[in-house]
Amino acid sequence: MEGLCYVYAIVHRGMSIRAELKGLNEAPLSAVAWQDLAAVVSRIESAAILPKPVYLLRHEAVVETMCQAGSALPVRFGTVLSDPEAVAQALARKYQVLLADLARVGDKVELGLTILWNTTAEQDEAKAGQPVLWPAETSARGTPGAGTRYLQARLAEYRREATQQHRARSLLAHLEEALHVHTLEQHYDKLSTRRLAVRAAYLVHPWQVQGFQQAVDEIRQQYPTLRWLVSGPWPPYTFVTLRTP
Amino acid sequence: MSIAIEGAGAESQNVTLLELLDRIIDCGVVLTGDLTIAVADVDLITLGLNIVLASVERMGQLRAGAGLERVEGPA
Repeated sequence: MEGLCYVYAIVHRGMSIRAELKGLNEAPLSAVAWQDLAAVVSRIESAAILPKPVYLLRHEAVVETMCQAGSALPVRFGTVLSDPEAVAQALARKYQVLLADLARVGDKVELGLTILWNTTAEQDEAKAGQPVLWPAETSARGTPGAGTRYLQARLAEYRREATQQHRARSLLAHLEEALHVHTLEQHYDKLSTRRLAVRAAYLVHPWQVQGFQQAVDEIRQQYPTLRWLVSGPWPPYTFVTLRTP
Repeated sequence: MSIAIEGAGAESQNVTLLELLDRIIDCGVVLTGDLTIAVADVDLITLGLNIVLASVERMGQLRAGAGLERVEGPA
């Protein structure tokens, strides 16, 4: 086997890899072991990986297959090392953390929840509830001056953001209360973009997936103007410890 | 993986890819200090593995504008 090593997942040493399962560019998969751990790898010619759908989906297919066969940790897309020795050294450097993570999250799955503001409904609400801010400064022709218009727009934006912050906090509190019995760990992002109310990832046992989805269905009925996206089950990408160097 | 979107139709396939992209590029075990991902023959680099996707050339311009020294990416 020659070329660079592309890494897909970390598993327990000795875990079998299905022969029909192939890596990027249909390359055969193999395991590089260090003590009780092994990395699932394939050979690749270049370290610069195109994030094309075919590669993304193949990476995911390998990781998901390994997760279904036993405990596995998903490795970040695009991870390329120079050779099997470098892979073994990487395992050795992070051995204890990887081993602990494999025990903690290796047999769990991740569910994603994205909640978007419904911008049309939100704009209608804003228009309906918009108060007269103050008697407008008027020009000689009876229309608001540029300064007034600017300050009114700033105030309207401030109020919109304050309202969204309040609604997002309330929604998040509701989610935490309703979903904590169905989940092991949670990761939340709130209002990271203008349209995004909440983006969350949940670590769950595979047998908790159905209960989680039912709980989300019940919550979403109470927020008919929001758009909900539930995704998964995914390998536990968000819950590994080694997410930064 | 599966995706459930309220009122979704044909958009679900694109959403699946976006959800996948978001996870596998920005999350997962980090074994190396830098990753190199390329789009349309332009090498993309990451800074601190917090995945800032930008061309090497553009990042050089940004660094220069910010008064930072150029750090060679794994191009």
